[in-house]
Amino acid sequence: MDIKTLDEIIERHKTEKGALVSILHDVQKHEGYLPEEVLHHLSDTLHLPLSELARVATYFEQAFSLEPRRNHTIKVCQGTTCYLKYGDQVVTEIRDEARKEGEDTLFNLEVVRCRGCCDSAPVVEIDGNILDRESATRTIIKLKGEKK
Amino acid sequence: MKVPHLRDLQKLKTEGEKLLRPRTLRIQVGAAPCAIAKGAREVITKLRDELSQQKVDATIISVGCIGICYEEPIVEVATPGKPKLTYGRITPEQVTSLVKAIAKGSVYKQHLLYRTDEEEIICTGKTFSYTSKTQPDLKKIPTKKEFKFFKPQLRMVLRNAGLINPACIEEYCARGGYAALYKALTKMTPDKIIDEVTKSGLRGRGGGGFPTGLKWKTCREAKGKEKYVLCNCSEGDPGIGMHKSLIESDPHSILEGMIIGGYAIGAHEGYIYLHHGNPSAKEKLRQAIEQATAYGFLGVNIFNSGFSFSITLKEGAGGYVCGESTALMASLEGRAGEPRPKYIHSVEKGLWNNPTNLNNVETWCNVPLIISRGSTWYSKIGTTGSKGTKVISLSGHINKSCLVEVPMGTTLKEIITTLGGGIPKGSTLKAIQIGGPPAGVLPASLADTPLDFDELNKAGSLLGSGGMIVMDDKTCMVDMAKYFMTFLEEESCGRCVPCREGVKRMREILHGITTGIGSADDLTLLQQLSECLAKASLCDLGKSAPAIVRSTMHHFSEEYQTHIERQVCPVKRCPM
Amino acid sequence: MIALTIDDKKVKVEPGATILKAAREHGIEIPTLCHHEGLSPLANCRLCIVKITKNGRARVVTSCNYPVEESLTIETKTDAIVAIRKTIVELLVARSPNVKVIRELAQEMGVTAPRFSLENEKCILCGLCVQVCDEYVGARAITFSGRGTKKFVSAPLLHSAQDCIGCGACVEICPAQCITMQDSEDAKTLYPGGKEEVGPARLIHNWNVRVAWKKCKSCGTPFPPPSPMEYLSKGQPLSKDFFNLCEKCTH
Repeated sequence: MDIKTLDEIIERHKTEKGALVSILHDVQKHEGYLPEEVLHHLSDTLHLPLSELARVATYFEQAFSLEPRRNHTIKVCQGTTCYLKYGDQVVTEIRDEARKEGEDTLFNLEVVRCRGCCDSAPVVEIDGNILDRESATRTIIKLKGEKK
Repeated sequence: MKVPHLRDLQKLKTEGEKLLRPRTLRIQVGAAPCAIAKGAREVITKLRDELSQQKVDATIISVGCIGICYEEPIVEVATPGKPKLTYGRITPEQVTSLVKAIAKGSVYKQHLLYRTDEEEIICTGKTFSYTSKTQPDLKKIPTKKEFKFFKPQLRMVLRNAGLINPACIEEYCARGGYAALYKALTKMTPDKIIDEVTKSGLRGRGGGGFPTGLKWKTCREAKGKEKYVLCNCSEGDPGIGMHKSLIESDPHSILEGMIIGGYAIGAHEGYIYLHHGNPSAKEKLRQAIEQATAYGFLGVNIFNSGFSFSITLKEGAGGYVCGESTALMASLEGRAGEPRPKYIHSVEKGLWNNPTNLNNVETWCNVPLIISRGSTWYSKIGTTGSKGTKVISLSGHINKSCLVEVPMGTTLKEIITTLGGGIPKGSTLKAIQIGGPPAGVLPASLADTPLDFDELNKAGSLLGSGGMIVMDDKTCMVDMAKYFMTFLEEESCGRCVPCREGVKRMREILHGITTGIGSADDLTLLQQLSECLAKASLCDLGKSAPAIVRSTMHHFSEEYQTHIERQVCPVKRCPM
Repeated sequence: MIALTIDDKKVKVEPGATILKAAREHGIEIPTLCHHEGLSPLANCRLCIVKITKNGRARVVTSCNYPVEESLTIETKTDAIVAIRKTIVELLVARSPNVKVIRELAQEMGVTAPRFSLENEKCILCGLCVQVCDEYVGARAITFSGRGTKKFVSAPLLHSAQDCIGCGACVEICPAQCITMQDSEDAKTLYPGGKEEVGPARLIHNWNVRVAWKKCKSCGTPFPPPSPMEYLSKGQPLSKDFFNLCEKCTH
């Protein structure tokens, strides 16, 4: 990560108390993950031991990733209503579709909880767009086609 | 742009009224998460195109959650001098016909839900009129008040949801916004405010049901140079997306409540803790804070009262456990969101060891109303022990998923049948979950339980967050117990032995029962683990983890027996 | 002094003490696993739970961090409390059946075979190693990673614990004795990239750490890092030069 950008992020949160999680969010958003050298730089700049950085970065495993993310993010809702409408089967379906023909390097697959769209349950969120089961499968096929 | 005087606030109000009731056509489109999921964005795009093509002069405003999720996408048309008309299930394909009707000044009958002649502004008790005379051709169309969906409701927390542009502070003021803040800071003392909140009977809406006035009083009296007020928008409950809807529909009501609370408690800083992964809600809140600051509702010397207050929005990164107060505060402090073992309450030693008052977002939204209308008015709503209303997110095996607000005391059955349209044909009601995992489940036989903190406790459940999930007779209750334990295992912070090891083992046992390798001893073991977790866990996640297992074992014991003794799932949900 | 009752015994205790301290002062044993006198209570293991009653209201609390209060009634061994402790130990045995301290606890409590599938974790996740490093030694070199059932203790980001000073407090405080270290006058370490280091050093294997013996500030002789545990047990802070002076020069 470009040090100038990282320092700008740190500067932006200068007056915020307990800003570490906010800073990590901005890094995650910018880079798609938390590069190790960023954590080292933050440790030096914020005067926090590396152990503290590592603790926070690895505790919040839903929000932060220490490894680069893939191009597209698929989030399958496993909220209670989506589960009642066989959302667990959707996870399997989506995972199988995403991994067909060995294309799983294209997608980050995550399980999330309630997106607040229970009327459309079971829902799948692809790159921020909420879709129903069929539309999600069609979108994955389309994205795989685009990569080729 | 600052609003130091009442006359400036009134000017803002007038500007807002002009926007809500403009001289030209105003078209509102519901744009809450559920609407977006159903194509609201595409409808807005098509509307823009059609209005331009058909040369109709109109403004399109995205509003928040109207609540009738099963009718989304919803389009509302406010023609000057005429009642506002609300249309449901408008797809991009229907937009052309809708705009044609608008251009002609006629009604698009097929999708018309109801008409609104006037709206109550609950903050003031006054009404906002769209028209002074009822058009003869519209008389047959039900009014909003008569519309089945709104009749049983009392939209107080959701007072502006779906009615205003959430990004427009003027529209918020037009409907009474920031008048309560003015009253609180210029006409009331902190003690008087706390007195009013206490007398109103408001109890915490996050799950605890703790009397809000008492919490504020304890925090006010606690010793500490710096105090904080916090808003919990963590919404980690696996079953609801309620906070999102509140924030995206009416963010200013949250801010107004917090500023009043800060003044009452003696805090000058507020933090909103927002669950991560909600860029839209984050943006709405950020925008609202920016606007409120620009107009002087936040910042130094608000309304020339001498009181200064700031609100910082912080995005969380953890899940369910960060809804627990000490874990939430740890996350705000920039540390891993693990609960702290504590026997000193956070109202005395909370954020950075200072007196901190944490309330749920719904609780905060009630505050401006209590100040505006008074505790006497507020306490007339609800039951003896539970005053006011409750926002309920209704979903599951129900005909109509929706976001509603009803007076406390409304029974669960009423919500399911009248507002939810009942269970789909061919199925019957089996169980209700209200309040997330800590609330366990209630069997259909207890559907007459009213929404009430104490009544629900007596029935073996609890009000919790208000996420109401309806389960039909094809639901396997043992499978649901396994589902919730799987969820809790993922969400456990891992700090204490009972929760970290106990929840995992309970999930393993339930997995065994649902795959045909359960035994009678498993039930004894589940009871023993439940007792251990309930008494010895470090925080409420662990302590309430057994609730779902205990309640399903109690109310649906024969299902457990069938799985174990006959290795059969009566509803064929489990892979056996 | 604060007057309270522990197991029907009327006692008087210094204000500010915890129930655990009060009990131990009066010869009443309460089991603990994650507790050390010199460190602030972690309350992770939950073994030290007791039943307290005040103003007619009974609760279960951890005794290691609950402050004594006037007129508190404490019961340390009710049937219900003992049953819960047994369940906790059963859970611990299932996770770490080959850890000596866990087996000893199991024997004490009468827990024989756990009714869960056995794992074989060496670390019991008590948190004492992280805490002594954070709170007492101040190096803050190691940390918990992850959360929930996947939680584990490690060097930050799984590399070498760069802030470790090699004092060995973590090794000594670990109840499971699963942290190992080795002192050698000619320790040889090969780094990725081919660099090699030879010389008197302490290796702490769990944290991938090699700490070269420092030269004594006074006499110049290299010496292995001294153990701070004696001072920790006495509740005494470490002197500024504690890690800079060899044993001879300290006395």
